[in-house]
Amino acid sequence: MSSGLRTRAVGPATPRPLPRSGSARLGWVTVIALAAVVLQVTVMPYINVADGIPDLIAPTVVVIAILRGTLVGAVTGFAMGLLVELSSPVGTLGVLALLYLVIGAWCGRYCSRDESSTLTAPLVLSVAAALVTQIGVMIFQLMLGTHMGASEFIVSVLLPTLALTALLSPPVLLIGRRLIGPPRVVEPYAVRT
Amino acid sequence: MASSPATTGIARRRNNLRRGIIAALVILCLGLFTVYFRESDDGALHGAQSTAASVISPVQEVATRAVEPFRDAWGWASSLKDARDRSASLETEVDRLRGEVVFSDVQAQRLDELEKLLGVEKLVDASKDLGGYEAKTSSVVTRSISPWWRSARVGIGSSDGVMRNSPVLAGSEQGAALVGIVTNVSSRSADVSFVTDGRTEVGGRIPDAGPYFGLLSSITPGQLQLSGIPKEAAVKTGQAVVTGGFGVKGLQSPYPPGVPVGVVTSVGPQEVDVDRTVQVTPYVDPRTLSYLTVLVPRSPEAIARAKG
Repeated sequence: MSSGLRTRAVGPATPRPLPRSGSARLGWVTVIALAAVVLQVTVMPYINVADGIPDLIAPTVVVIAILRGTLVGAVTGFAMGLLVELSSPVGTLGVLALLYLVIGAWCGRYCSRDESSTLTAPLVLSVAAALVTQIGVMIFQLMLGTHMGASEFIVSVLLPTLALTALLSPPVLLIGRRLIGPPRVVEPYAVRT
Repeated sequence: MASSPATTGIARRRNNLRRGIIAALVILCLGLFTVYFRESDDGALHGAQSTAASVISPVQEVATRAVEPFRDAWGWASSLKDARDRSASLETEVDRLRGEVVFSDVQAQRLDELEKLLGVEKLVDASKDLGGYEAKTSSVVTRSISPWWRSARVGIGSSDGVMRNSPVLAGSEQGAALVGIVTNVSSRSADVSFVTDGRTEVGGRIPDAGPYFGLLSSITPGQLQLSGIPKEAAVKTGQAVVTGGFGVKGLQSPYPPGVPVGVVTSVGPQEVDVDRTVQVTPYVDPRTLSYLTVLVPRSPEAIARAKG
């Protein structure tokens, strides 16, 4: 065309991830979830400070839930928790699945809010998710009769786990965002007419 | 802006469906862990866990080997600090042990003769006689993801003869020492619960403190408590604790007698207690190990022990 008009690109300075189709996004969700489970049961137990081991599942569930919503977050959390219990030498089945399911369902509530496009909120949610998991496992172990001193739990287990999870979370969140794409637009369902 | 009634209706149905799926998954989780804890070790869910373990163990082995050089480098760097002191103390210890070996050989010969004469089950001695067990060493392919479960997975399984309740040893400065027991076996891997796990209990005794037996269990991570030792027992710090090998209510102990477990590090007050509170530090911290030795039962006595 020779209209004589010059066009100029207008938009944000930072590149945004390209929009992906729904099935491609779910494909990436599956890949990320499987990779996180394999890393959690093979590599993470060796990255320990005192008795703390980083929780890679928590930030992964958080980023998936916050970008894809409650249902995908809950189902992914359930599946990842169950896979970890099936593939790691732990004596439970269903406990971690329940904890990560609840985390996925809860974090999915932030999908349609402004928090889903920031980095601070998912980071805080990841550390909170790791905290919920640790306390959930502790309560379950106490119910089974396994004891650990409160100070020992806080100093040797809880604080190192939260610190290591906080260190690992930013790359997980950035990779998740890059691969899954921008947050899903959720249709409002409670609008009063 | 108001949405149309049709759109709101579809959204409401979607929301109900979403809630229904999440509720169903929560119920499934509750059902899973209820059934898991109620069923026997041969149950369907335990079987599924074993199958998943055998599928993923090759992947875990590859990942562990990939990470091993970095782990070794870290271990080497951290051990440099006290290498010189350790070398000096080890040289002194070698001189002392050379003297003890002479007496030990004579005693072993005498013990062998007496055991044959009385028909007593042989003690497990990793350097000489394994008392009906075959030692199979394997690399640790993965460890527990939480300190609440003190366990690991090794790369040998039922195809190598490993049975549930096979004792597991590891090398320490004091020789081979008990670190745990096999709790779950698949064809290519076995899960080991360490003695420091809250669910593992080992019958133990202190040979130098008299003919008393107690029960070793984990009280805090990494530490054991020997309970049931009467206050008349002459327990002192520094004494060795070994497996008792005794059974309860007709059930045999899965652990053979005489395997070293740890050393007494503190003895509690005895004024009002009937029993002594004996704290034991295991010879081996299993969390740092890359290889474990599984004692595979071979003799009828050893197989009977493993089967309980």
